[in-house]
Amino acid sequence: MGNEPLILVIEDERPIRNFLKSALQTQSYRVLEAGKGKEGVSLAASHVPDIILLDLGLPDMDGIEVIKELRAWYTAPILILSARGQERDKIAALDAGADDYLTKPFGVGELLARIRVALRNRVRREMEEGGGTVFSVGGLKVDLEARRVFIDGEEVHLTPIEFKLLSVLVKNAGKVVTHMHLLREVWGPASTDQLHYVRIYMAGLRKKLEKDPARPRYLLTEVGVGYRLVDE
Amino acid sequence: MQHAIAKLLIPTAPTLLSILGLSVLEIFLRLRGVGYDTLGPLLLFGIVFSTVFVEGIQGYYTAIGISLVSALIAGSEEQGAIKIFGLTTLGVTFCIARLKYLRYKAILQSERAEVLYRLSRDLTRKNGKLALLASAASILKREVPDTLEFYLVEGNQILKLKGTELDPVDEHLRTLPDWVFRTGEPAGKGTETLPGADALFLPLGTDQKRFGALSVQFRDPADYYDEDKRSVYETIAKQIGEALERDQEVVNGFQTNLVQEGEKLRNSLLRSLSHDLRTPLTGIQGSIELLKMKLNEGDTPENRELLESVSEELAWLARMMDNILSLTRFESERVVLRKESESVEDVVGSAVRVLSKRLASHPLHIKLPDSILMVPMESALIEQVLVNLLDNAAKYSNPNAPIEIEVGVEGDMAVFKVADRGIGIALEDLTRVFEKFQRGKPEEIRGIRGTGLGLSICKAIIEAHGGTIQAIPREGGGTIFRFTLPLEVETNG
Repeated sequence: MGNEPLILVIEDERPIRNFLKSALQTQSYRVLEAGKGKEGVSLAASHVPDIILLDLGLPDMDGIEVIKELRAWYTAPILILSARGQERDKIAALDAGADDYLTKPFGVGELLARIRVALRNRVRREMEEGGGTVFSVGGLKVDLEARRVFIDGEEVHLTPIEFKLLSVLVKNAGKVVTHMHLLREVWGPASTDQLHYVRIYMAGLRKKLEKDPARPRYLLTEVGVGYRLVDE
Repeated sequence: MQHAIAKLLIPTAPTLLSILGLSVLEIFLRLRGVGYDTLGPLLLFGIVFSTVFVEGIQGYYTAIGISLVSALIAGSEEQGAIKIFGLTTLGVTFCIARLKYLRYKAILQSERAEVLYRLSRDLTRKNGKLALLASAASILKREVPDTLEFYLVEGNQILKLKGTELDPVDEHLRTLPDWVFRTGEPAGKGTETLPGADALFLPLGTDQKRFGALSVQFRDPADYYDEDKRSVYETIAKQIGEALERDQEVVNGFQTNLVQEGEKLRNSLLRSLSHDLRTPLTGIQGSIELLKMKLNEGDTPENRELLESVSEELAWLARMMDNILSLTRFESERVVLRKESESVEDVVGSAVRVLSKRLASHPLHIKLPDSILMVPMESALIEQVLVNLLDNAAKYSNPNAPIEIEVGVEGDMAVFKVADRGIGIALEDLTRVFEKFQRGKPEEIRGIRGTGLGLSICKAIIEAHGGTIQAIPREGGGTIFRFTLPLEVETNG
């Protein structure tokens, strides 16, 4: 005990805080709670949690401001809790340095999956520096170093851009990646007005990797925000 | 006023001098023995010249003066024929004067008609008091030679039109517009009320309602006493007043309409919230309380079923919330869409994923174009349309009935179809189902829960995108919902 990941919940609604706490404790995570933005920022500074769950609609501070303050020094994952129909806010939060988001209402299964992804990504990033470069989920296997992609054991040939697009998603597997992020990573910072490239190449990538591109198994669409490569 | 008119009517010095000069000349010529056979045409020429070519009343004075003098001179010589000549010229003078007056009136009237026509034409195209006044001011500035000012009374304030803005009037300049607004009588220069003012003030409005005042500074001071000139501005002031009244009625009507519409919407919304939302809440409450009692039984199929129903009810409530939110967004503001070029596969795939649980038992066939189809849209909204249509398809058909989604291109439109094998919609209800809070016939929907909001929101979203949506009865039973989206990106999109 004591080595379980510490999770800070910054959320003003007590019922939701209680529900989050119960849900997280079932997985033996340790939980810290804050009802306000300022309190959350100072708790984060004193305890340095492994993950922060942050509600975007706090009474005392704008959620985006909280992220910016935290990101000045805090490097571990930040997950956003936000309402539907706030795609712009989600994108702004992700751009400000949040790692992922959950749309209210969300289920416990979804919440725990996102937390697992966030914790794993952290481990993976550390591993990568050691050299582990093969990603696999279901029948999809991506070897980043050898630049080879397999579906159910069969090699699939991707164009250089498709591979680059896929590798960005692999590096962020399980997390949402915004259109803008993909565009910058794959096409470079000069092409920011060409957002439709991302969608066109993603459709091409799906045709090669998915059995039924309209009901994708690996490459999911987050409408209005970006894409997510499933990782479990 | 009488004094001023009298002043205006007094023959001026040049007039008197010219009459005197001409009389002296005539007497001088007569004494030198020049006969009326020579003098007559000369006199006639002088009379005609002064009536026709000298502007205003002074010309008549000259003509009448010459005629009278000639008649007197001729009369003193007791030459009967000459007397008749004198009287005839007098008559001619009056005829010419009369003609001139009529011509002047006719010109005035046709000019007035022209100005009024232009004014009424332009004012019917404007909305809002300020726009109306500014437009009237700019037309009149072009059309009339005199200087006009417009005053509006708003509550305690008197505002004056300056360019395209309304500025409060200084305290000491309030008296005249205020008096005119209150009494509805003209005032200022040329009237008996405060004649010392530097302009004529006329009420701006109709017989029923006054809005302010119109002030006129005539370029020609004589016009202050000209009834015709003044009546032109009275008509103009009335016409502007009518336009202001019309505008006010439109505004009032619009507001009443808005209030009534809002009232209707709120009532329906309240009804639907209290009834339709209570049902799932009751279900959730009941299930949870049952589960509390049966907690000691642990993981039984019955408990699982109760939990499952809670999840379903909650999902329904969440979708309902999305629809109510969209409705308020589309009701309360002029919606500005944030369109981006999206791939059809993305948005169809996402909608299907959102409803995956609900669609699980239905065989789902999705047919998309072979090539990648990009359509400009606000993806979250189109996803919502698809979710609503798919939800309906599942709701109104048997659990194992197939549902089809097909997307294609027709001309410059992308065409989406969601087809089910459900209970179908009666022919006469095919358009009604898209209206707010309207659903199929009660006997047909057989108690299937719904609020009648989903399709009206679909319609609002699709139309905001520049597309159309319709329900088509399907051969062999069921319904096809078909909607279109323009493929071209609008320049402002």
